Amino acid sequence: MTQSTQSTPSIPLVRCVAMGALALAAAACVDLTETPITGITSAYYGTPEGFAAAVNASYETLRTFYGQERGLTLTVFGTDEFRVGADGSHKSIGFYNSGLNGDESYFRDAWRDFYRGINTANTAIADSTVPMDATLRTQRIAEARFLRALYYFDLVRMFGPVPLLLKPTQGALTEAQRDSVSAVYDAIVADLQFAKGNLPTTQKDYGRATSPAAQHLLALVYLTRAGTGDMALAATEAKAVINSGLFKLTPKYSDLWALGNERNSEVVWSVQFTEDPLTTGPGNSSHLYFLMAYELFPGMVRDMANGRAFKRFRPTDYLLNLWDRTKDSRYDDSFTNVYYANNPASIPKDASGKPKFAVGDTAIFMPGVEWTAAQIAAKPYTVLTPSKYTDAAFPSFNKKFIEPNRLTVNETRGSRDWQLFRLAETYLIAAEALMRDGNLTEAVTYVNAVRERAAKPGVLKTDMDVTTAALNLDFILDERSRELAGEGMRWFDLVRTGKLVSRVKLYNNYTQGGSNPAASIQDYHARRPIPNEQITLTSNKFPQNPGY
Amino acid sequence: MKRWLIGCTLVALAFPPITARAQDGVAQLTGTVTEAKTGRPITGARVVVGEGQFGAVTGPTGRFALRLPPGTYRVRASMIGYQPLTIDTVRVVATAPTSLSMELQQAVTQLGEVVVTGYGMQQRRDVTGAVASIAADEIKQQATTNVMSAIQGRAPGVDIVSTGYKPGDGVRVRIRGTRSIKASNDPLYVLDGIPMAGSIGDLNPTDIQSIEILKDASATAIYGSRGANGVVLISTRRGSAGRTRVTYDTYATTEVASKKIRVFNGPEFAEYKREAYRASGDYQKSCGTAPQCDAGDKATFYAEEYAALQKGISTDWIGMISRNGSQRSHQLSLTGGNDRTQYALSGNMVDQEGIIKGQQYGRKSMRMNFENQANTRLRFGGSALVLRSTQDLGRGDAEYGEAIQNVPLAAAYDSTGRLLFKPTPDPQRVNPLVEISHYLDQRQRTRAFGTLFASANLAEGLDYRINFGPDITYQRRGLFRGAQTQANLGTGADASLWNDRIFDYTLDNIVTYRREIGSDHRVDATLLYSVEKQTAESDSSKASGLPYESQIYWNLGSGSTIEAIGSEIRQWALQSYMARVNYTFMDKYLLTLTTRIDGSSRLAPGKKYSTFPSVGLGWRIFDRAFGNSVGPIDNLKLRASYGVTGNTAVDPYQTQGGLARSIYSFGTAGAFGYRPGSLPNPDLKWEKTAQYDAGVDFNLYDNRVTGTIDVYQANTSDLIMDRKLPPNTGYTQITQNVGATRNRGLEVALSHNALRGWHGIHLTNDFTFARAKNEIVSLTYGKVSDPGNRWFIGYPIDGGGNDVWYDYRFLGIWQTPDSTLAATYKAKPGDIRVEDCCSLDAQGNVIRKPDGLINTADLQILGNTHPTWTGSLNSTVNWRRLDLAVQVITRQGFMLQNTFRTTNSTLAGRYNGIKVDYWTPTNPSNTDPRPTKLQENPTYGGSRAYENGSFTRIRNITLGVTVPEKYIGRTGAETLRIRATVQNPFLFTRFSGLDPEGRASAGTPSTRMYLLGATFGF
Repeated sequence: MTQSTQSTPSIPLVRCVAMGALALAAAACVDLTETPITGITSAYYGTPEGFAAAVNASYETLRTFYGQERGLTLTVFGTDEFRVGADGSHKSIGFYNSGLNGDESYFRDAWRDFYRGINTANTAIADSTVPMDATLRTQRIAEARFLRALYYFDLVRMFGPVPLLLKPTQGALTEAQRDSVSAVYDAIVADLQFAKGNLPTTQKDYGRATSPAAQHLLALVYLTRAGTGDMALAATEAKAVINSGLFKLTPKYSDLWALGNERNSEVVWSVQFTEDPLTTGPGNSSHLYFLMAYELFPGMVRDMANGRAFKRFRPTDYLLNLWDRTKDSRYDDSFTNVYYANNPASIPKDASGKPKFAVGDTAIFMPGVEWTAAQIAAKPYTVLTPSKYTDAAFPSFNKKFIEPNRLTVNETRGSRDWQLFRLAETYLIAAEALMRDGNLTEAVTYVNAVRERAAKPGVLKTDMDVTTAALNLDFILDERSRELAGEGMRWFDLVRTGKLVSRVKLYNNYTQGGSNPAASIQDYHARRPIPNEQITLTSNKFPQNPGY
Repeated sequence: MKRWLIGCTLVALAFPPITARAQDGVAQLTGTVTEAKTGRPITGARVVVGEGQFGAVTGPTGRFALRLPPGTYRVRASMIGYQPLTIDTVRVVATAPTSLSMELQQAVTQLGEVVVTGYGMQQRRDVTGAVASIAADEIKQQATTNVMSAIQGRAPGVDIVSTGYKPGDGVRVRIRGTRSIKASNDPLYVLDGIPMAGSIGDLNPTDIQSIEILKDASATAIYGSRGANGVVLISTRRGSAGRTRVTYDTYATTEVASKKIRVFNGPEFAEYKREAYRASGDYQKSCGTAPQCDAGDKATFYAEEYAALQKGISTDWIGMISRNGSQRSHQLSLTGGNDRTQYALSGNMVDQEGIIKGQQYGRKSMRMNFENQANTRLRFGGSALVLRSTQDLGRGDAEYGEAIQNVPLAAAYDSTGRLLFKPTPDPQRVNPLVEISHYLDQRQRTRAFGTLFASANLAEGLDYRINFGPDITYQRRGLFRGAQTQANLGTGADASLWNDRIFDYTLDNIVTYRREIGSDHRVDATLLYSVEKQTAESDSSKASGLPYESQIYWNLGSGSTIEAIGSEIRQWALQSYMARVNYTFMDKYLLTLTTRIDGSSRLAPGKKYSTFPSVGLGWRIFDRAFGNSVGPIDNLKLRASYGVTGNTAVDPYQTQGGLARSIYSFGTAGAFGYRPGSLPNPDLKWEKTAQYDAGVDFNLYDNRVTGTIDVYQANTSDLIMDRKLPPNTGYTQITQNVGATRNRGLEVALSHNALRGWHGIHLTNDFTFARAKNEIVSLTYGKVSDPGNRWFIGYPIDGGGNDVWYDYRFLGIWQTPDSTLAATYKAKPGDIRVEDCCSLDAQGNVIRKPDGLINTADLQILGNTHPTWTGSLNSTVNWRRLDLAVQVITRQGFMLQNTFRTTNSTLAGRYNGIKVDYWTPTNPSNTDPRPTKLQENPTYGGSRAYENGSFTRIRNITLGVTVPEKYIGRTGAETLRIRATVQNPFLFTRFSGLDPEGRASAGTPSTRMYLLGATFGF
């Protein structure tokens, strides 16, 4: 710049300009290197801490599905056990009507979140050379492979052929293809075999994957894949868990659902939730969805003990009538059919102005059978007989989920662990596998073990037993309902056994507002629609499942 | 740095200041400066006598007075926006005051005398780029707290729309359309030469002297990477020599909702709810085949609703939460100084109450400008803007939604007059009146924005200037949700507090050199070295279970549960070198050359630096000032420019691939982790826009018609976007250079002095017209559309799903005669019918053939939000002391997604909603489906949302009167102007939503405003 000056500048001026130019040069040292301080980058992986963080993060995905409305809706609706309740969206999943399509957000979100978990697990698994104790490293990788197998298992059961990615995503990957169901199962089995061989039987950190958890899942995977020899493999794995001596059925069915007893002897593996809002994430929200709208009845108001009623899932007649209520404790230990008055302000008054009943007295009663009008009129409280059930008034299937210890009555985040694999199911897996392999004699022992535990006090355990003659696929499904209803597996069970369409036609046959699941369901419904965003975002052609 | 600065200062001080010539005696020169066209006095005009030894600034009546030695002088009067007037020989004698009357010709907006350009000023006639100027008068006409809102409809190609209608809500500004989306499309705002880091909304419109909008690359290239979306240069009022001038400006408004949303009233709601229960089969359980019965009502309605229906109660919840809005503004300004020191001071208070109770906005600001000519070589100065603004939003747009959704069959108060928290037992709905006092969302911003500059004249024509501009913003948001809110439904209060501290500074070193070589060559060169750096810190906390509500959010530690806690720091830096040469040959041929090199910390190593060149050419074909006008053409200038600008406005750290924190637990112990959060992109490089612009500026018929026409094409390459990825990757998106877009447009600004003193009437009409077409030319992965991202070749680029509407086409409602066909789609009469246009062939290609399935093959491009053209008309009439201004704006040819309508007409029979004509078996409506309690949202309900958004609006009518002096004598003021304005009086549109101009999803109505204001000059 100085050379363009025409007039003769004085000495100080030249120096000043020179200094100015120097200053320009000196200031040209602004450092443009980016150093994230708050955030952390992928360079963190490859360190022992980063590896541990990736393994921990692989678990987070569990909480997007299990113990959540999404996972429940996708396994409870559209089965023989439950029909559509009053509130909430996603009813098309229960009705099998036009809204059950690739735009439905639950399919989209399940797909998104499971693949996110898979990519996280892939990241941990790929970190196989991280400098740390080799045994512990292999064990952690086995945890990640167990979780990856679980996520792929849910995906393949819902959607059929899905993209199989076993390495962390690098760069902008826009092409995808649907790998065959058998390829996906091969990967699942390989992961679970690895997990079974490299995981300890118990973990110091409660809730980490264990080898029995891998074996239980492996048994279920074989049972579902149902290829040649798979039934025998399923039975072997299930029996290994049963005979490991690590678990035993709780003495009473109700022990399973006693608040604070989620770490009982029957839990093979559970998804973890806590009472601390900072660590429980979305919490276990299953306490919300199975409740009737008790608060709308005289003498009642929403309170902690009875819970916040979202009234999403109404039991079908099939489910309500499944138990021999004289012998089987599991109906009473699953359903609430009496509510006690908790709101003096809304207790009805008789002609003399006296309250018909007091706080603590029965306010709503569901006898489960029809009463005469006179019988009903004789009671001061509300009597709901089966013919009076509505989509907001029905026996609440909530004993497994209710959480009166939440922070507030409207708090959705529950703290119960979600008992994903429990020994009673392992028994029923063994029984089903043995039965389908033709070994009825052995199969029936596992069924009866589960049934005997359910005997009511005063009922002989052997009175619960069934014989091999009773044993067939329908009985197994019925027994699974009696034992496992609402526990997030029914839709999978029905698809696995090929009974989805027939059982929905038989047991979910009601018309409401022009929709009837029994009339709508078709064979193609055994697979869920591929989320539309996966189809539109894939740069090559990504076929939708037939029928959608 | 400091040492050499002191050195330079000392050097500069060493030069003796010019000493005034010794003169004998004192004489007086007085005069008035008026506008030639209207005869109105011009306030603030600069009068310079001689070679600049004496100067004055006209007061509110256009008068000036000077004391000076007797002699013969040249007197020159100038004012931004007018052509300067010079009277060569004015004789001033000691014996009697000399009086002058100077009439200035108004230069039309597009051809104002001096324009501010980047890092300097330029004669308007020398400008080679596309620059629009807006003067203070035009800004002041609008009653708004936001500067950019005030210049809506003033410059073609500058599209300004509101982002919401709550007090303090901002505007969205797009200059020549949108290019990049990932990067912010906001233009760069430069306040008195310093880029603003913080919000433009903080500025007080009445502090502004002028606004220049740089549109083409020749004008913006000097801002390099920051100029890609255009540049808005804002000049604030400065002092001038002369006696101290005091101006007091005040206005008050009252505002009403410009549209009233009609919801179902009591009986209508009852019938709608019955229909929803009929649709599910529940109503018939009590009534059988009868359409209506008491038992059915009892089974359907809550007891409260039933009672209200019997009593004829129909609560107008919207009316109960609404009020008349209002604004009050007071502004006091002082300007003054002498020929060496000038200053301007102003203080402003504005407060606004929204039309929804509990929503308000207030701002108090002070502004100071100071400049001193220390000696002939050194000039320094500074400015400061200090303000605090407070916005209370309550529950925001959701409050209006709560009022819409509450059922009319309920009372707000109990029998004792107390507010009911829950008007009905519905667990989700609460009394919106209770929320007004229990839900607080306050955003408070404290900002200090200063500039310091020193400039030294190093040699003839050679100047050095240093600018330093710190911008400090402190923002606090507090959110309190009491127990009695919809969020908490009666169970305990929670609160959150967010704090942000942003420190930004700009340091410019500028060397300029001006020289005339002979009479034919003029050179004006600029060199710049500039650094900008920003550090943003934030922290936040949230607690629930607050033991007492009076704390609001000021005792979070007392909560029973800490829900969240966080802190963050983000930093970025930009380093730039720029050189510019303006060359003028024979005062006829103009050339501007610019190069800027920018380095950004936000881009990947090795890709941080980029160079942005530009060239601008001008040819003054005819120029009356040089005596070569032709026929009706007074002036005609052709301009052409080409240049490259860039865009770096990605969030910091985008290239590195951040991890996301995960939360899990083992047993009761927290198990935190990190999962892959965002994909790293080490290849991310500069987004560049190469822009061609050709323009013509003209004055015709003795300046009766003036105008500017520009055509341009902007080719953006390496567009930086968030590209959505197939979810099977485990990621949702990647920040990537995705492709190229082209933006073509035409901009016209015309001004017509229709009447110039006909019977004393002056009438000016200003028209603007802009047409733009923005389209994707190619995507980096081929010339194929990407429907998942809504990127289609030949259509505007979509960012975040808000530009291009790609959805199923709404055909109406399935009617009873079509029930068989409906059944094939698993639908029934009364359901929404969308078009089954297409299907997939065996190869998976989309073909136009229905297949009985509604799936991705049936998604169609329905429209986009970019208007095909926009226009405005500004008319001003003056007659004696009266002036009338009318502004009309129009946006044509675009489609909006009216989510306000779809979210408030879900027709589930549970909540109230917008009164729509829903289908029933006896009312075969084709617009809305049958209500049913079986679903919270109708299937394909979103397809009802797409509407033509075209509108024309009378935006502003202002009537002003300059009160004759005899009536204002007692107020102490010299001048008084009173104005009355009505804003948004008329809107012509077929759009059914709240307002087609702003965000269609915004849930608060726009307002019609009545204003009364006064300006006193002392």
